Amino acid sequence: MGFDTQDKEIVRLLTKLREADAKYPSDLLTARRQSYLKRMGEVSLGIGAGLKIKNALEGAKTPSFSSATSTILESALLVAIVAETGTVAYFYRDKLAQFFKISKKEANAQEVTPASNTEQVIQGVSPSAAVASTLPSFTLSTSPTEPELTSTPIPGVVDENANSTASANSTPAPNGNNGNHYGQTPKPQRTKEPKNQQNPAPKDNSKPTKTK
Amino acid sequence: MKEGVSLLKAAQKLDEEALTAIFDQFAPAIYKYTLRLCHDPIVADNIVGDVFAQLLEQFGAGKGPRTNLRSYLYQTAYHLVVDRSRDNQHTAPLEVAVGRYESGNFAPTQSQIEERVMMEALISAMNTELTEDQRHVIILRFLEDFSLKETAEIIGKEVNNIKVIQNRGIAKLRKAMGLQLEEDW
Repeated sequence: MGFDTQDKEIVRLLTKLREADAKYPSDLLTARRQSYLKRMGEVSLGIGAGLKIKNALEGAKTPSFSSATSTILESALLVAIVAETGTVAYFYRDKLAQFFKISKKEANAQEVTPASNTEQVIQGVSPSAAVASTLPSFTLSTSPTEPELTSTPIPGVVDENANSTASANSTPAPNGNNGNHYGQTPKPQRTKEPKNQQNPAPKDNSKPTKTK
Repeated sequence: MKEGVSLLKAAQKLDEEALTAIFDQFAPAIYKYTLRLCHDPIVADNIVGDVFAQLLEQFGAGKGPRTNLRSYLYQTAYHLVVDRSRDNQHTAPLEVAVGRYESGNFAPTQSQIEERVMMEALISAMNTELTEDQRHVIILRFLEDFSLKETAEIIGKEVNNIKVIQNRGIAKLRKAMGLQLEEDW
């Protein structure tokens, strides 16, 4: 690297500074060396112990299994696992059966029951004969899994329900009343007279005009 | 006595003779380098201890330097010095490193006195004018005689970056000592 004259002088001085006599004090050096040697012994000892453990672990293994032997051992282990699983299943078969029953019931309870009013006729749309013949017809019957009502009975309703058969009624026909549609909502009748009838003079909100 | 690569290989196997030889060979140099940076003999001694303790740990873990042991040791020392300097800013002058520079019982000549004055001015400029990076680079390059590449490895920067830092450092030193040099010439 090229330096100009002044830089060379700086570099020369810096190089000269290298020769400065700043020796490691002998007492510090000796103490540090002792400490280093002690630590070196510890590390060597630790590594030695580690190697011994490693060797011991390697030595604990049987000399060398052939692949056939290892296959046989694996097979034996697999058979043992299967046999043990079977035995456990046999001893706890009652509990297992109960468990499966419970899980099956839960699955049934989660089934979605179809809507009862599938026969509801959409107004204005009459199914053709072909379509009608393919439509499924449902007859409702109380399923055995249906939960029983245990709430407090309402007298009138209980009697009606007792007399009626267990057939579900579909939504009644609209009888020409299709509900309120946009623009056909009847105006509500007034039940109160507006207050301003008593004070018929409307409030004049117009700004007063200045008269000169 | 083993040297170079064979010494390093033996040390990696935790050969006690090799490890001792490494300490004897590099401890004084690392001390000198550290002292130049931190200006405190006790701190420098502690850093030397830490550097060699880390080296042992690395060798014990099967790691450590594979090629350039000297650079590795200086790099470790550099990081330790930087870590310490972050905690405690030492502003003591560098005179510790050159306290006994040209000490002798003989009467100094005129040129020796002038050079001594120049040297003190240089040390003062190094302490006051240079940034930390510039000081590290200047010390590694000119006082420890590392190459640009080795310096870059130790400091952890690109070679070009080291060149720039070095040139700026020298320029600052030149500027600081400008008056002195002009007077002499």
